[in-house]
Amino acid sequence: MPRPVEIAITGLGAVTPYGVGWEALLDGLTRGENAITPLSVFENPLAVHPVVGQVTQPLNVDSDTGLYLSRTDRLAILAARQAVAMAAIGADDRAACPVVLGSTVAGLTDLVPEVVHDPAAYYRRTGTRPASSYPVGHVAACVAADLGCGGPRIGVNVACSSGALALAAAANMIAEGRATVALAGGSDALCAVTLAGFASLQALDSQPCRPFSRSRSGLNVGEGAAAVVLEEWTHARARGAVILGRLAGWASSNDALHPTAPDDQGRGLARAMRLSLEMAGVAPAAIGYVNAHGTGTPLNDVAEMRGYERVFAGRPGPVPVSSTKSYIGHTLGAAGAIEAVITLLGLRHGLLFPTLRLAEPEESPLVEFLAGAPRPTSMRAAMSVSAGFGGTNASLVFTRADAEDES
Amino acid sequence: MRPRDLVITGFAAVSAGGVLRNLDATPDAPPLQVISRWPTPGPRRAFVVAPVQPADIVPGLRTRRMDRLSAWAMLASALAVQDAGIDPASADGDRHAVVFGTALGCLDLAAEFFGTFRSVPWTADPILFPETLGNQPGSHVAKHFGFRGPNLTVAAGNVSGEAALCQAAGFLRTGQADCAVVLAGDTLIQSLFEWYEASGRLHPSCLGLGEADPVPAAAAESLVPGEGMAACILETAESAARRGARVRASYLDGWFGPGTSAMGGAEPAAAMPDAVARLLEAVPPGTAVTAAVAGGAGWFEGAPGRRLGRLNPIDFGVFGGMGLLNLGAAITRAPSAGSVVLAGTVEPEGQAGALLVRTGDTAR
Repeated sequence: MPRPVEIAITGLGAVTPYGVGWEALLDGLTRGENAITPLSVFENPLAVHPVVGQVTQPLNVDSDTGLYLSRTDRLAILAARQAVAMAAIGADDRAACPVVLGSTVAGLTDLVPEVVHDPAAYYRRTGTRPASSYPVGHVAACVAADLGCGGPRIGVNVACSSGALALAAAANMIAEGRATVALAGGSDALCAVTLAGFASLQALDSQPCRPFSRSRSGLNVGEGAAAVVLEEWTHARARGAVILGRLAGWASSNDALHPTAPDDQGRGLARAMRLSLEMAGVAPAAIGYVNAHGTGTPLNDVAEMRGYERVFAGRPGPVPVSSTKSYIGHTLGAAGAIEAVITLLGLRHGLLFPTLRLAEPEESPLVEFLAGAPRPTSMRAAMSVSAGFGGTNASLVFTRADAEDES
Repeated sequence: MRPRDLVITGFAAVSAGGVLRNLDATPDAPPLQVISRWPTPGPRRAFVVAPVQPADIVPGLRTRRMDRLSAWAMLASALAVQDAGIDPASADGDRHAVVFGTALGCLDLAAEFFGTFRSVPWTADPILFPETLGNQPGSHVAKHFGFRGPNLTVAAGNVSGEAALCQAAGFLRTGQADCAVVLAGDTLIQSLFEWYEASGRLHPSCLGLGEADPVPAAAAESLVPGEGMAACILETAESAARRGARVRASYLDGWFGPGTSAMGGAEPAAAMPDAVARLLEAVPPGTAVTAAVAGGAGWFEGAPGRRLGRLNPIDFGVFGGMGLLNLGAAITRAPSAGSVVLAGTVEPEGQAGALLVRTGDTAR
């Protein structure tokens, strides 16, 4: 499958447990700072006491959209503002710009169980505005209204692949000629309901997680948002935009196996990776880094490793892989977008970010699980991989702005 | 990139008007139903779906413990796949996508899950939790048929059906799949109905004490909530030809968005005219176009300089699948084979969507 269009990245934005801005994210990663701490941003109603990746600074959003802004919406707006400012897109481009944002909880963060126990009483007490933020599509609507983006507004709700698939969906719109500039990303705030769900599945590690470690015992939920401005290459060049990198390939697949468990052989994930490489015109040997899904759950990490073994067998050396969820937790619908930003930052700044707390990694002759300190690199292509409940898989291939195809 | 022609070869729905197995018959306009699924302070009406057991209609469908939305997705997709003449066992699953559009996701089980938290500490059911996720309907469909291609769930309010069809077209046109099951739907629950009521958005017919008033086909100021699920099979013309499939309609184009004001920026009132104008660019001048627009007659306008024939939409109520359902109903009622039909949906405060097709111009 050839690449249907050349897509430039011209803007990045992020809000993570390190703070507002991709600069804070880059700084935290470079310093190897653990941002997973005991839950404190709301009162914990659970029997367990989770450690989480949380944004502790106030999320002040002075916005005149007239819409109710949930915590997820505010995270998204702050990330999107940074991306759009960095891309410096003009009013004409904004007027036609689609907004495609992934989320899993959206405004559920701002609701309480009374909304289902006695809805009429709840609405009398709070009004109807907080519940208006429940739909996943509301996040994109808020961002579009805040930034004056007049193109289609789409929520992407594909569990933990949402952020990555939002970028892919936006790329498809550009590939089809439906947009020249698109804003895409993901946002999810910490939510007691989600924490209760993962606790019920016994998927939470009570300590900061240890992805790809043989002693791993689960994930940590995090919160955050990231946004990326995608732009048709010639359009970006024509307006003199600074091109930060290229989204060279994107693909998705479904395991079609189980509501929660991945294919233990990583076949679906491998198919998504292969298709994205094929679209990018990038050989497996040219991939200098994979930002893994790497949740830290026993099933995910080994399935993912098998997927890498399928795709990267035959290359001259093992493929460098890490999970940056070990820094900030699993940000669910935002994870794929935040990790895309991390991958782009690694490409631009020539850095590989290791997995934190990785003392006893899984063993594979085909995969190098990065540990220790950040490593300088001169890589020209990198991959970000996501997976989620429902068997969904996504793979994004990024190349440096000055990279040629290396098929 | 060589453009790929796309066609619709199958359609089915679970609606307030019953289960539609295909497009062979015009669906009946459903009556407003008195809500009985939850206690109400007086008669409350909406377009609701009668209880249905999917396995009674398509033997072998396993939907136990699923949200109604997932169960309807299974049933509607199974019927649409049958209508399209696809044999899942021999289909190349890697090249089959599933794209699902929903405004609100799996509300039944999400509410049940949320409702279990009555006192601290919260404890939850691990079986229930995954089924509350919005992408589970599309994932169950993929698992049932072994469709391992792209799998996407999109949320765009009441134009989620249009969004899903547009995204599916993107997968097909960019070569990421050859065939897609496109689904769109929502369920109506107490919290949602009472949110509409508390917001003052319900049409008086939903709140009447006596017999239901006649419901206008569309009303800009108020709405009648609905629920249901529509499914269609969208595939490349080449894929359909390989199977010798009957083409129900050629997919010409689709669009959804908030409309753009003359000053730039979003403008809901301009949304439908914008969508119509965009789509009619693909239609040669002089071509007769028949339009069926659901969700707000007052918002409908043709593009400047173009006259559109009018087809009153069948009202199934307001929900995320209404656009796809409207498209199916419009195809069955098109003036003739080869008619160009524009099926649209308007959200007064949000986006408008429109889909453009040419009906059954290719015989089996």
